[in-house]
Amino acid sequence: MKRGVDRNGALIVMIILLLTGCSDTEKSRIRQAPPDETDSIADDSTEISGDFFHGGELIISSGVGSPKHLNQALLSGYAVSLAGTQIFASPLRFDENWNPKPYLAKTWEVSEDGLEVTLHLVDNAVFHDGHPVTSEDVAFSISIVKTYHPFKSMFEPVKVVETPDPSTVVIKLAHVHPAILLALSPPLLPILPEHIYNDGQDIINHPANLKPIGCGPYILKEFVPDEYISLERNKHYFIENRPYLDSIIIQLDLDPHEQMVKIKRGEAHLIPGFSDFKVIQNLADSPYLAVTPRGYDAIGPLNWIAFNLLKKPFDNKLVRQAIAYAVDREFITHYLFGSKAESSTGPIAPHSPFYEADVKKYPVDFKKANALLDKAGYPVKSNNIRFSAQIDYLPLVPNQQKELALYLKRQLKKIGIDVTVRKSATVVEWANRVSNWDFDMTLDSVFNWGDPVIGVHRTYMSDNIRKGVPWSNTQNYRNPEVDALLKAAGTELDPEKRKRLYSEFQKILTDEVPIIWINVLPFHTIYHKGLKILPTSIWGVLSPMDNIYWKEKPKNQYVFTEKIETTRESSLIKNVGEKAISLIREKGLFPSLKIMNDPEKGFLEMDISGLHIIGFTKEGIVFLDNSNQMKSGMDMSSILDNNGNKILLRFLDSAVNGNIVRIDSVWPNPATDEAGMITAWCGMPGDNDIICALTWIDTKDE
Amino acid sequence: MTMRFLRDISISIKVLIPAGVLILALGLVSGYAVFRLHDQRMVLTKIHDIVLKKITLIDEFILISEQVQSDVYQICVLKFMNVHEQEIHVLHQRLEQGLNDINVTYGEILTTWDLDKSEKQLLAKIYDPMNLYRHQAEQAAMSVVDNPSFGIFLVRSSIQPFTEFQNALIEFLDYQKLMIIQAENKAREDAGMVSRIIIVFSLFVMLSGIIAILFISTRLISGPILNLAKLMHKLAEGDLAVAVSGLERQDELGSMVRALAVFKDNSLDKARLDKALKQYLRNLESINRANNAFSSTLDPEEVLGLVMKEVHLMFSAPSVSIWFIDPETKELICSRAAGSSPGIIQGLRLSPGQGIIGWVAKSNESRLVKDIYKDEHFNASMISEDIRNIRSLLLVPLRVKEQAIGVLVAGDSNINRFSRTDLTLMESLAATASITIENARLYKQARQDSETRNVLLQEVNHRVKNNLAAIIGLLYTEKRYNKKTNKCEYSRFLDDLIQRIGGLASVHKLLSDTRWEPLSLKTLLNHIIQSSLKMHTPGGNIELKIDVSDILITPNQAHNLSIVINELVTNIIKHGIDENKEPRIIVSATLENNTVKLTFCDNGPGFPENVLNLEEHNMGFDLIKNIVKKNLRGELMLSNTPGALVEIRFKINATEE
Repeated sequence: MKRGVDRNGALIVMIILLLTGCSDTEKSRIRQAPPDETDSIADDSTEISGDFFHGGELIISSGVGSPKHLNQALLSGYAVSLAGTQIFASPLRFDENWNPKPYLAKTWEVSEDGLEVTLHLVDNAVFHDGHPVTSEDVAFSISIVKTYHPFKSMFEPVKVVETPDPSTVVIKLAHVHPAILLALSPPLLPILPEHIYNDGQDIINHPANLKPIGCGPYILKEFVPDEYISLERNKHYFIENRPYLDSIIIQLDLDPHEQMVKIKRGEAHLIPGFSDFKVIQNLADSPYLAVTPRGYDAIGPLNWIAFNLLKKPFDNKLVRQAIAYAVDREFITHYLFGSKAESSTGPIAPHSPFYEADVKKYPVDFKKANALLDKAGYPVKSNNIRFSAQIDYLPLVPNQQKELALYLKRQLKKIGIDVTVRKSATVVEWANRVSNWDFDMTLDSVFNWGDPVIGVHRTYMSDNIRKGVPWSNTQNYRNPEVDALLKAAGTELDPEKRKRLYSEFQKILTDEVPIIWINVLPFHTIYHKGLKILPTSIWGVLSPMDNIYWKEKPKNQYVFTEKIETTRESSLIKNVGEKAISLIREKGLFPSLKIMNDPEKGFLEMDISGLHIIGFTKEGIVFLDNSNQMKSGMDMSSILDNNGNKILLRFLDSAVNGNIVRIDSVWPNPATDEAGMITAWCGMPGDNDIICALTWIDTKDE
Repeated sequence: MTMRFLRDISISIKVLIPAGVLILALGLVSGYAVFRLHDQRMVLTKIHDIVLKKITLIDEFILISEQVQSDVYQICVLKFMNVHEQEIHVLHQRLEQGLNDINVTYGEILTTWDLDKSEKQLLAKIYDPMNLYRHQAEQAAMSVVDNPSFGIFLVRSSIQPFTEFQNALIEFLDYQKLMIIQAENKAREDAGMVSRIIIVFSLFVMLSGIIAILFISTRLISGPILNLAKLMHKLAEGDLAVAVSGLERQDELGSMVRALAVFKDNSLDKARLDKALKQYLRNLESINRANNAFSSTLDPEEVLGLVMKEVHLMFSAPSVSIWFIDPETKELICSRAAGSSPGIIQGLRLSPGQGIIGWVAKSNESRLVKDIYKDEHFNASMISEDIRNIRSLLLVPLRVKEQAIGVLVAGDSNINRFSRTDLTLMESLAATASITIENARLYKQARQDSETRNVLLQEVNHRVKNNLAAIIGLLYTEKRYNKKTNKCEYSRFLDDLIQRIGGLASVHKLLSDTRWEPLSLKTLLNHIIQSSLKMHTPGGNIELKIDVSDILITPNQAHNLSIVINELVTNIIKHGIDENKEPRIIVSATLENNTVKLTFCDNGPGFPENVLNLEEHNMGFDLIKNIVKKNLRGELMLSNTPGALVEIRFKINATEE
């Protein structure tokens, strides 16, 4: 049988600086976590008191791609950091008001001239392999991040890291660095064990990246790319009594519908960075779930169109401005993104303290756009086309990137630009194209990462034009004035002066538009209401989840119906069906799927039996399929039999009434792909789910 | 605002307004017609344009969806045909673009225009089938690529939402076509409506014109003129109370009204002056009448009564009282009161300075009390219950030689009843009354003095007469006694003395009887001569002829003349009687040039020569000579005619010494 090539390709994918964010506008529309939760959620260091459930498992459903390794020292991204921040600890953590809090460093000082940061480490921290954490490890980690991480600006000013004693780290800076403390955050500086990494092997391909050893609250148990990451409680964690959970499972690379099914069925408990606005409302309506846009303050996720300034005609400012005038932000944010997203007007996200609102704006205006293109020397040719161009998009978050690309193709045609949408099968493919400057225009989602020094400078500084490095200055934008402004802002400690510098920077950028900023991504965290002290600090779930606990566990919803009767004819499929239901009862819905899907372990030998297990819900979503004929989350509610009746209704009827149902259908045999008459036995493991065991009637036999 | 403007503009312009209004209105009608027809055409064009654009977009929409659906089938077919992935990929890309375009097109239709309710409903109806279809088509395409055998299931299942979606779209399209038809119908209706509106509007305009004319002519021109005429008529009739309206108008009528207002004001001023003058005259009259009344009597009681009456008349004051200061005790005593409870007030005594009346008397100042209960000098405890109803008072001191002798009080039960003018008037009245009262008092005293004098005079006369009679009696006694002694000479002397004193007594009697008034010379002559003759010749037959015109002489002259006459008569009797002749005395007196010429003439022998020359001195002629010269300042002339003639001349009004 053929497995989905594209999907498997996606397994390789990786990481990704996954987007997140949310807008104020939708905060009011989404059901908020109750105040008692949100209040305590804020502070990672908050100690809980009273009765709570100690232990338990947390299943996180991640839709932001599968990481290729788990070492965020090499690449910060949502997928890497989600697990990485659980495995590795960092010197500092942050509350939701941008205040640094002690983590590995119990105290710290910044010298008056701002050129020296001294960290005093806790003395009881040990790596998961029992080695104590020392100042040497911190110095080593900084050197690794400085060398390998694409955010050069994070530790570029670090001259030397001194380690006067095992628990003291002195970071000496060449110049003032306003973002130095933020750079010591969990997603940005994991403390790596020097004794493991400093073994002469290539750091980038070091085997420990896949089986990392850190000193964070959880120990990696298993990492199956594209599938899941399994984490266990670190019993020797340096903060007493923590973490509260026994284990965390991170399910990887799920599409939004699949995530929706899982969290609704209680098979997952938390979805971070969720931005499918159609599904968000559906989930917000559930009485068991809470939705919050909080926890993404430091991310500052912007959705934008980037130009390759090396290529004509995008080297021409007038062309870029013309395109900016053709992009209808109102339409995008209000119609395409269902009013869930907020417009962005410049390189700094609207909620940053350095945001400047008074910049050149581009309300949709085709006349102006056409005039600018004429002026730029790209007149309309006989075929109504001025020029052709290609647009790439980040193959993640379908309704934010791909749809936008398709929209732009249609929209830019109106001003005579013939756009081809180029698909990248994987994020890697896309990243390779863009980082190697093989593109005209591309959609991208890029984070501000807290301080502009970390997340903004990299995109516009001419010294960060580095071929092959994704999310560097891939536009090849060069402006000495901007370089000077950013350099000044990066070494200015006075917030007011910095703000003025960034304000000037934003004014220049919005005039030159090397990038058309479109919107802030509407990231949300969806979680089970029984889960408490959810990290909604500026880094959100990219923080150690050492104080999350279950106050009330989700109930197991799978209860058997007793209505199916045995008949002579149906004994086989009935047995198979009952076996499936019993498995689901025992293991849960999705773990059962794994068992049924595994040809080695084999739940059903379909080649021989011709039997097939499939699950439905009343919502029309297929949730289980042991043949991979369908994707979990696929809607098949409209599939008809040969008589034009909806198959789902016939299955439901059979499950409720306890009959074996015979369907004359084109449903293909998963083994032979041949369609034919099927006989189905249906039962209900829960109130809303149907399990069917299907068997094909061999017409030749008849 | 408009009203004021219309009211204020000149009449010459006002009369042009109706015409202007009509022209303007007709212009409006024409303009409206042109505008509406144009507008209608524009609206229609716009509707056409929009609907055309919408239809174009919807056509595109339908095309895209059909393309998408066909792509789904095509992919499916190609997949089964095992065509190269690359070809399918192109199709798939187009499918994806198409599916996205469906969504974008829908958004464009939704957001580009202001849609009506039905359109919104129809669009909402499209939304779910559209998304369902997009979802199904996408799934189908994906599944077909993954697993064509199963994918065909989904491709097939996409037909249903596609049909639903298409139907909804076509419904929307039909609605757009309907919109055009409706717009055209509406345009036709509008055209009819426009013509109807124009007719109605024209009628309305005509009506408006008429109304405007009526309005302007009645409300703005003739109405105000009629009002003005009415007003002038009323003013002419002397009704000055009539209100002059329309002063704020700025047109010619406004000017007239303002002129009229000035006229009215002048008339009012005049009327006020007239009234004041009349009042003044009335006051003068009242004062005059009061003065006349006061001067009609000198009886003090009557004067007080008159004062009371005049005050009552002049001020219509129900309560009037007059108070006098007791010169000894300085108390105020109410000597007269009229009005409420006069009996109680009359005779009432007030200590000096007590109450308002007391204050007036003490301060010698007039006072106008508007409300006694609010007056600082008011002392409620002093006022008896019966006169508590008095509220207003006029109080004026009665003055003699600047000194207050009493207070004249007028009262009324109403508050604020009297005016300053009343006070002034009452002051005048009080001044006159004071004098009258004082005069009456003085007169009474003078009369009493005169009576006393008369009594005394009578007593003196009586005593003089008695004394003279006693002297005469004494002389007679002496004579009788002398007769016994027979001393003849002495007897004659006594006789003469008796005769002279008798003459004096006689004159005294005469003057006493006439109360010492000027005396008729004739009476005096008759009386003295007769009395002398009787004395000398009792039963004698001396002829007496007295020819005297009516001349009055003073008592003093009478007194002196009586002595002179008595001496002359005695002289005639003694020396002038001729034995031969019948004795005759002729007396005449004339008044010429203020000089009395008195002559005594007898038919006797005439004066001896020495007497005639006034050389012989005897007592009789010496007496005569002295009295005439010294007392009468006259002349004495003696002559013989042949009888003796005595002529005496003296000034009738010669000052008595």
